[in-house]
Amino acid sequence: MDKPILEVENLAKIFGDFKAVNNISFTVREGEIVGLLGPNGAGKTTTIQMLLGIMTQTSGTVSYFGKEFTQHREEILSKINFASAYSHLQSRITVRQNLTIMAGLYDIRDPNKRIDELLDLLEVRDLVDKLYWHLSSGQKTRVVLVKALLNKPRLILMDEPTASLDPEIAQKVVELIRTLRQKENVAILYTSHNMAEVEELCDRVMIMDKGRIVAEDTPLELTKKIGTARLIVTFDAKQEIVGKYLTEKDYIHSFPRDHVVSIEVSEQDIPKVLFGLGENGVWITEVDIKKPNLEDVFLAIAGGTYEHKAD
Amino acid sequence: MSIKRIKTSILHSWYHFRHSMETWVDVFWNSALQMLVFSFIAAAFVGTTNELYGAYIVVGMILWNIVWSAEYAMTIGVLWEIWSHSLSTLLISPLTLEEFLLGQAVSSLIKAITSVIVTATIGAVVFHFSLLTLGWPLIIYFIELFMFGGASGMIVLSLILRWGTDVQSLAWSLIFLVQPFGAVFYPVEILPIQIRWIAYVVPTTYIFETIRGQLRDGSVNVNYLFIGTGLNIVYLIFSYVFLRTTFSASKKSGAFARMEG
Repeated sequence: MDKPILEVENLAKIFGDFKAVNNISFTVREGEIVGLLGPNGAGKTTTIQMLLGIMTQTSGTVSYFGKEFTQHREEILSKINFASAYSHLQSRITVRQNLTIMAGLYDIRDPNKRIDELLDLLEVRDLVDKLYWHLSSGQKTRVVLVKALLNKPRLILMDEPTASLDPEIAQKVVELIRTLRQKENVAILYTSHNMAEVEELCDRVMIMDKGRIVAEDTPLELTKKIGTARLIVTFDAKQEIVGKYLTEKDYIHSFPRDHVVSIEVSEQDIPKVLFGLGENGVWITEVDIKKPNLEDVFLAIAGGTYEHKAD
Repeated sequence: MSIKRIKTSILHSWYHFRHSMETWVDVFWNSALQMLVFSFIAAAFVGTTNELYGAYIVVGMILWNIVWSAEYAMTIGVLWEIWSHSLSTLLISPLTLEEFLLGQAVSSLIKAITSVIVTATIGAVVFHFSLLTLGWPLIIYFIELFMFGGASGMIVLSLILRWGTDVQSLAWSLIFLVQPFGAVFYPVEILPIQIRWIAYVVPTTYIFETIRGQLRDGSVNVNYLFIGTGLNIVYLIFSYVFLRTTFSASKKSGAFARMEG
């Protein structure tokens, strides 16, 4: 992981008064998997569209392999690829015809061999003679993934590639991505709403909100900044007693159901809370500790509390 | 510009054509049926009013198909990609817009030739008119009319790329706006004097006037062919610049990405 494959500098897209993407800068290095997260409307898709050249930026530069994108478009596009649950191939022709066309455009040597290898890898060989529009959305996504791997890209932009896949196939795709990185040192810019998937796959995560990158770090470091864990306590006592104690001690809490309280607490305060509840006559029957994950980071950012917590 | 990618674009068009009954119907079936009707109308002139006018209609109908096929095949090829949400998939590969359009142009040329063969055969059977009587100038007429169809196709594509599928019906209709003023079936003198100037800025006027002159007395008006060529070159340059400008504007405004999304 050294050379930057993708360098984005002060990229912005402004529609009238609305800043869809507001001066973002980042890099993706060789063999690195970088997650791009954010709530709907954060600017992720607009960013990817600019990175692919189907939307022109208002300002800023995009360079791949040290070369400016617009000036070396064909050369760069032959070395990268894109997969998304929402991108499609021509609906009226067969899977093989579509892939043959794409192989031709990417100038693949021995295209049929490469297509067959990838069809087997993604377990879609049986779909090869079907018209693309007859496929289910999950099958389409896998065929689009075949297309994305045809040219042995050095960077793949993936926009929610597992969105329409069933869990078993989604897990296979995640494993495939990991294998690709290990064996071929492929770099990936990855957007997903599946936080567990991002946490599992990505070396680094950037979180966008309102067009800006508001947080960027490894998944572990991002969750560390949240600071608090969630303590779920099942108890045998009056809810008022529990609520009174936690309010007095200033702990954020809620009662998801009867005799269960969820408390936001730093990990070192957990024994103190449990002891305090016990001292107030609360009989604790079960304790569950949920450490913060990327989803908490995401929610904290969406709720506007992340920066405060990070400080 | 990559020859291999242009060839792939042609192959793409061929694969699609094989699976698209709609394109078969539009390009051949409708053209053949219209030709049949017009040939019968033309045949009705024989021995009644003026046989030469019958020939004008038949040749107008056969050769108008070149303009229509060139324009339609080019725009519908792109529209099918837009309907499939696959145009951006093509254009985020190394394929350039120009390579894609050249591929579409070659496939529309093949469709235009085939369409002319079909309609000319009907004209020969029903009206007993052989298109080959036009001789070598037929090649020039074909090229001129194809150039105009291609330029019209690029204008329609520009509008679709800029304003999306809201204006897709132009693919079927815009060229017919030209037809009344293009002197396709009748001499330009038929048009009211107030609107005759429109005919003189449409290249088809010069081509069909030359064809009628050739049918009438065997002479080929070379001056008219030069004017037609000049106008076609101007239209081709204008339509290409317009297409590039609207495509850039569409990428800038986000319209292209939204259309594909």
